[in-house]
Amino acid sequence: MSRTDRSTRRQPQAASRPPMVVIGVGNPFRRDDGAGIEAARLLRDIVPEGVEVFERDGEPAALLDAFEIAPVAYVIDAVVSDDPPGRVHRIELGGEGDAAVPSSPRRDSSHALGLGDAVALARALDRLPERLVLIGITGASFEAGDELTPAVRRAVKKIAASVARELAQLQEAD
Amino acid sequence: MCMSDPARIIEVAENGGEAVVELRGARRRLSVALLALEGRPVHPGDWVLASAGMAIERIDEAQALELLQLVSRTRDEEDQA
Repeated sequence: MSRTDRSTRRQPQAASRPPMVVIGVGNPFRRDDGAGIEAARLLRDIVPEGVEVFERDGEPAALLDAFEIAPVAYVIDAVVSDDPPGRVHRIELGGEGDAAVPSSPRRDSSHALGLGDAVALARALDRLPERLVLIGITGASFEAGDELTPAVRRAVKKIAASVARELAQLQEAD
Repeated sequence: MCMSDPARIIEVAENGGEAVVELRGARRRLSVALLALEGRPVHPGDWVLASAGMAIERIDEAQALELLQLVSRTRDEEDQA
């Protein structure tokens, strides 16, 4: 998707534009780095109709494109922190604000950029969604492998269920 | 307006992800996949809270009847307004 002109970007939405998107970010071949991808896969079956679910590897340009699909975006990603594995961090941005975004585990990526960079870039380019909810799940292992660690697997399931509930209530309230 | 309506499960699809329910006096399809994911499958006769085409919570019959009364009272008031 090419960058759209700023003057047309905030126009009233076409009827086909989804009201909300969920973006699972990560690398499913680096154990807990796949937390966001697994959450997206679970959510695909349980989100209300009309909500779109994407999987992304964290590359900022692709994330920025996904941010423009709907006015409300939920992003789920693994994070590196000193908290116990499975701990959930939640940050909400309303288009403005300077909340710090925990670092992503994309050390193996050639881009070496994480979610925080994507958010900073989106903010600088005025491409943040009207409401952006970032959900980070503290990972335990980012070694090669396609299995989540048990605490992270449990957290992913819980997060998927709670995001689906939240989306249903937001949609109903609209 | 009530954000969630009580619905009674009539029939559950074999895959456990969808159910036919009685909701606001009519039969409708409702996704019950969220409750299934949480390991809380529903069965005919169970009550759930429905929101945006999904069952978001299980409730017991007493809660359901209380909510139904509340909903109908609110609608009556709206009609008179």
